[in-house]
Amino acid sequence: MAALIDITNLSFSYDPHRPIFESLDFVFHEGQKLGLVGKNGAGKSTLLQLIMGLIKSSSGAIEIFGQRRSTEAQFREARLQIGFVFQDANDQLFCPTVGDDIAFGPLNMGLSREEADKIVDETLALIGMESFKDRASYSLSDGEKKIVAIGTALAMRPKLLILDEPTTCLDEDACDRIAQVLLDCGLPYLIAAHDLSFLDRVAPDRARLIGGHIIYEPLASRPDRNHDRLRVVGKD
Amino acid sequence: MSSLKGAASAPFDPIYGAFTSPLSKNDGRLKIILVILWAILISALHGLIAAFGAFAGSLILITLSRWPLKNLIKRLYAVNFFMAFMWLMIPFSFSTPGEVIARLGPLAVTLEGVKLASLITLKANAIVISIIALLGTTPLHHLAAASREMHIPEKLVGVFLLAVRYFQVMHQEYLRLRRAMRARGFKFNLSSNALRGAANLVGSLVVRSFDRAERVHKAMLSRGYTGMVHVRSAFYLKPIDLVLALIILALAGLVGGLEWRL
Ligand SMILES: Nc1ncnc2c1ncn2[C@@H]1O[C@H](COP(=O)(O)OP(=O)(O)O)[C@@H](O)[C@H]1O
Ligand SMILES: [Mg+2]
Repeated sequence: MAALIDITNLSFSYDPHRPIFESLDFVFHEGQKLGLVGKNGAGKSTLLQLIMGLIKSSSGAIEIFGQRRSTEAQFREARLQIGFVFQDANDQLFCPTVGDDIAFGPLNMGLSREEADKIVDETLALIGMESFKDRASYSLSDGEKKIVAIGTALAMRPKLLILDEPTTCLDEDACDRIAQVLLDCGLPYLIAAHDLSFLDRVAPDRARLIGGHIIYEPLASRPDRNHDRLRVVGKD
Repeated sequence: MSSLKGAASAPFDPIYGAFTSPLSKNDGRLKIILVILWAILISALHGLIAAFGAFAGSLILITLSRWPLKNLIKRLYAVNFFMAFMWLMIPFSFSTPGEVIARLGPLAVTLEGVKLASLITLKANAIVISIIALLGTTPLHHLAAASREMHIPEKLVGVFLLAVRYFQVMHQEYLRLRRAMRARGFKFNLSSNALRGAANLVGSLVVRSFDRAERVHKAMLSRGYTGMVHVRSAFYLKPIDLVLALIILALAGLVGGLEWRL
């Protein structure tokens, strides 16, 4: 399998005295549905932002879609092919209406308004929110905002989805709908989350971020799903 | 092009003016132009009868908009608070000399003074009511899109749109912080402790909005942002726009007739 994301020897710190990652390695393969787990503050969000080039690492190599990414231009090229869903949907929905928000990415990719409008309609149908096209983004519920945020990512026709804590603060219904959208989209995805019951439904593969390193957890030896405790699973 | 169907299905929200009104379906550009024309006409009036006609015309517009009466009264209260100060000065002979119709102690009330004060009050209220009826029923982002179509610079419109979007978020953040402070027994007064608390509140809001701005910027970059906030144009003239324009032009004709013939 080809690697969509291949990170080697990555180091990063916000504060030089407290490094977050020292020589981290991480691989994400074509077709994978991977859950990235780890305690609060383990660095999940940081890692996802490094992959997107939204923050820059001090050393190490990031390869996305088989190409080395280090300059802003290289990351921008990669970003256009990755659908990124932020933890707080309020940050992601910055346009006046749902339709405008979904059209934002496609328009930035240089599509015409008619083409973008077509994608808006298709995307809304895909996420089951056809009637929300002209609703003001701020007036949606949290769950609806999240689903629209996923729609804004899908509208870019990405090769890969990356989601940061997609279910925080959402009720069961909203989680169900998000799970459905993810299962239906047919794309590989990487999800940072600590809601294990949600991950069990949508992402069978699991990578754990602990002490600044990634540990892959084979399906069989995974710790009890209901107890995301300190138990560390090494290579058994 | 898309229609505005469903655009106003949000609940009544006076900040954003996003509330279901028969007038919300009208073209934003047209409403801006009409309200400007209507306001210019009203400010040119000198006759009390014409001013009364204009006031009645604005009442017709606000009735068409079905703006909630309670909210209207609250807004007019603010305008007429200032009018009250004017009524303390203008009706009296020291500021408007003329035919004395009554005396309040040493002060003489003049007919001309009362007429002038009434004229100003009627005109101010007529203008404010028509603005509420026409612009208040246009969600702010439609106003933004309309201003773009009226060739106001792209950057300005983009900034305006983001400001509209995040004003609400900031306000909620402010309310959340205040609630959190209240939950721990905060009460605003002039004590040094309360002032420090208020300063911290403002400080947190500033810091949070910087953080928020940074996250929003990242979200925009993730979707290939290069400097332009596109908004799908949602405007085209429809039959209801013609109806609204005709109503307002007819009202303007009547008011003009009252002013320049009577
Ligand atoms: N902008 C920032 N500036 C400084 N430190 C940060 C910043 N963002 C996150 N951190 C720190 O980096 C660590 C990892 O954070 P994060 O990646 O958000 O963790 P997770 O998403 O796994 O909960 C935390 O200790 C956090 O305090
Ligand atoms: Mg996080």
